[in-house]
Amino acid sequence: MLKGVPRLLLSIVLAGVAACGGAAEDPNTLIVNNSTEPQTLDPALEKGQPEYHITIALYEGLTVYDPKDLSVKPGVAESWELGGDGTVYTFHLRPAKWSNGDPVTAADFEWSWKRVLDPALGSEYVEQVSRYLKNGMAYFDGAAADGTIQGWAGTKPEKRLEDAKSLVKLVQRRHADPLKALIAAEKDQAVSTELNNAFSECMKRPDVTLGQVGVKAKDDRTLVVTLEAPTAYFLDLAAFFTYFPVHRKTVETHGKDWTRPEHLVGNGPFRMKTWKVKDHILLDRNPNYWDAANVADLKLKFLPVENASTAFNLYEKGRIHWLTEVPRDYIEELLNRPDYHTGPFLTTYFYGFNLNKGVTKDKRVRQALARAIDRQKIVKFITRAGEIPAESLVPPGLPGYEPAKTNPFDPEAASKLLADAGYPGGKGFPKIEILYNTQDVHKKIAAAIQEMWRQNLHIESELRNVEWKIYLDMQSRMEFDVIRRAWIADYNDPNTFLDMFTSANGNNNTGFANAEYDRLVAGAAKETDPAKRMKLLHGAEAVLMDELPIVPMYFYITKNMWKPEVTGIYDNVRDTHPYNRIRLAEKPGK
Amino acid sequence: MIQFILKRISGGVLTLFVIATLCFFIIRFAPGSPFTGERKLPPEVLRNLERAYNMDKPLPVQYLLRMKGYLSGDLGLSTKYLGKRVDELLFPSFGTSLQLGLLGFCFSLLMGVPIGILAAAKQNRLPDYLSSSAALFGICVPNFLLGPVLVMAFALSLHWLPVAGWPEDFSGEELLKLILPAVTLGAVHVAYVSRLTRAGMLDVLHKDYIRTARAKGVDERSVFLKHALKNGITPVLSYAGPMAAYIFTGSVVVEKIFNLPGMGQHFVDAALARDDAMVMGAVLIYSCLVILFNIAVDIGYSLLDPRVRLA
Repeated sequence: MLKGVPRLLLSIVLAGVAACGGAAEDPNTLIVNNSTEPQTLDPALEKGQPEYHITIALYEGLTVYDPKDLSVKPGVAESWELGGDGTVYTFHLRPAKWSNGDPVTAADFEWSWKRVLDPALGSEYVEQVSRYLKNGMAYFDGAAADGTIQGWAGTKPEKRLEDAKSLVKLVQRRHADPLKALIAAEKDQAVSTELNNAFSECMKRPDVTLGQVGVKAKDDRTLVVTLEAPTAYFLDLAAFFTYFPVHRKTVETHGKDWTRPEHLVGNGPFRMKTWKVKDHILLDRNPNYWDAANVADLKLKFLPVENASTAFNLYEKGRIHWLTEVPRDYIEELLNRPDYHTGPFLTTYFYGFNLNKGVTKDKRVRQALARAIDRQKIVKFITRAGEIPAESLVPPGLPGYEPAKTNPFDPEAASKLLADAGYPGGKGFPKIEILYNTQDVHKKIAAAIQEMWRQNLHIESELRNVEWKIYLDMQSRMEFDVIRRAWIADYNDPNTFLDMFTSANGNNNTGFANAEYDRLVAGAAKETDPAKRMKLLHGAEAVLMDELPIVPMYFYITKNMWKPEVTGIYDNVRDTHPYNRIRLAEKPGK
Repeated sequence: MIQFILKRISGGVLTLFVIATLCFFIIRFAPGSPFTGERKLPPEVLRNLERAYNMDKPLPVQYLLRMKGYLSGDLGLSTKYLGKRVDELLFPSFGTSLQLGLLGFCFSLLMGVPIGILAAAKQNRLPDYLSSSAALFGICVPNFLLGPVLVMAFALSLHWLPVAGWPEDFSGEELLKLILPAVTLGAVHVAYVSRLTRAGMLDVLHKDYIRTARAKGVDERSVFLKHALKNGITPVLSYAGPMAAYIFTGSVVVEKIFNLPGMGQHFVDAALARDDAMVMGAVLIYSCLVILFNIAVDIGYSLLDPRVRLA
């Protein structure tokens, strides 16, 4: 092996040569624009749509979504029973195979789900699993404490206090001895105090081992899942990407390199062929997939074209079959085209208030600000693609749920509310700031709202745009008066939106803490009767829409374009598209 | 000569070290973390990620680890593209940028120099005015406008060239994909090169040795191309070094318009994602090129002009 600089130079040359290879296009290839390069293809680590568009082809969970209406259908599990007062699912697996021919076993699921729970893996969606499986949280906490204690010596001093504080919440009985050692060696007074607190806490909490986590392979084809509490939407979660199985042997053999195209093994309808970063990802049909007979013999090619106009040009020239995003400037023309497909999308654009400081602490001020916003104008003149004005946080279209609405736009009522709060005619109202991340549409919306507040309430506000990472930082530190936000549903249930504003949720970011609201959402989590559950959630949303820590603006819509020769794609509320039924009728024109 | 090169290279290594150091600390002091996202990470997960990337260690320790990595040829791990090494991400994209850059570079020299010579030969006459206006146009029109206009004209209206993409093989049709990006990339430099050539030539044409040549009865063509060009082109040469470094490392705008897997996009994305190892990798490649091309330019001077001595 060459070392150092010569190795660098050699790899530059080789990379240049490698970039020159390639083959001509196979006409039997469905070309999809993925809009960006996926950050990973490990389902346990993936973060959102750019990854999911591809992993949904490569892997399959116990259940799958119906491509038309997203109802839950059997996936690797062909049947299941629910017992134990709604907390024990027994899944019966079909004889499915991995892309390399190995059988997909219940043990694969057990191992994959437990892998997600390992804090050292760094899964962003770990709570999507840990919150639901019995002992999931407790195991995760204990393992996180293990990691913190092990890494203690190398940690920078200013992080130690933070670590010690988090240990108080995490430690279990087994940490007593290591904690004693840390306390003996610690010189900093504040850190010592926290470590002592942790020590007294740890004796109260029993150890939770991986074996106690609620997922167990009874035999090769039977998986028993024990939940922390009855979860009405668990079958829906079981189809979610964090619950996809991974091939244990591949992961263990190749470590973090296992998703490389030459190693990757999946159990989905398609399998990995080539992956050239920022160029394309190519998949072909997985002949070992249990339902391969019903999957079209296609190649799927994903392009990372970020510029929407470029992607649209390629589509018009027949070089792309399917766009999941279109240039905003062309929207009006596209609305009349038969190959443009749009429909409701379970995503809400909203403004958040800071309830910890300033005038927005006052409920009447928030209500006044909210009632002075004319959402109709925003969707008509700014977003322009047929977005739906939102008077609730939860979008319509979730089966069995009626969203609780906030009061509609009414400048006079708004003005009166502001007067009640002590600012008649806007007099004495301090200047507030609207924070958003740098993007044209956010700027236009913020400017429109600034103007509506000026006209309807006679108050002044300032716009502040910052780059994405700074925006995230300021949001979590609550350094804002008013902030632009949006949330995409993770599963088909109102809880995916409402749960976010419970007082302990990490994504709350408003300072909203309402005992009644927390009680209703927690009550819904335990309720097994669907109708009662929806009523509880509706009650919670009603509290939210009265207190208004956030103001809903509009619901997103999907914006897909696909060529007429492509069939088996359906517009749906999560913009989630399993590839099982996709067909490509004719050879695409070049 | 050898001594000169060795001296410059050792100076270059020192420069790289200073750049790497500055770059490391600037990125670390930028607000925001590589691991934050729309959905808040559980704090324990965040701490584990920091641990995995050595970001929990004291800053000087992190710095030493990074530098140690560089000395052993390890550019580190990307925090954005999980599990991928910086070299495997950057080098292929650098290969792409280099190939496209070479075309853009040739385009700007092959267009710029003859236009400049023509303008100098016909000073204050129609060809001069035309080329001056064209150059002004080239400098003023930004590539984010020029690119889409070229696409509209040559790809969407005339259907002569593909709209975007990187060639998948060496067939003629695939290679056509390179024309529009190369032109977009090189256009602004054509303008500069032609202006520099014109100025350099006019400067030289008033020199005594040119008058001598003309007095000897050397024909105009030889006066221009043999006697004047050699000295008249030196300003272009000093411009060409940094220009090459700039062009070869890719342009995020051109790459976005034509969807090319080049280094410019990686660099901008990495900076926005606070992917520090990627940012440093890209900056170091860019710095290496600037240093190398500057050395090459100095050598070029000495070849063109015997009065220049390398020391």
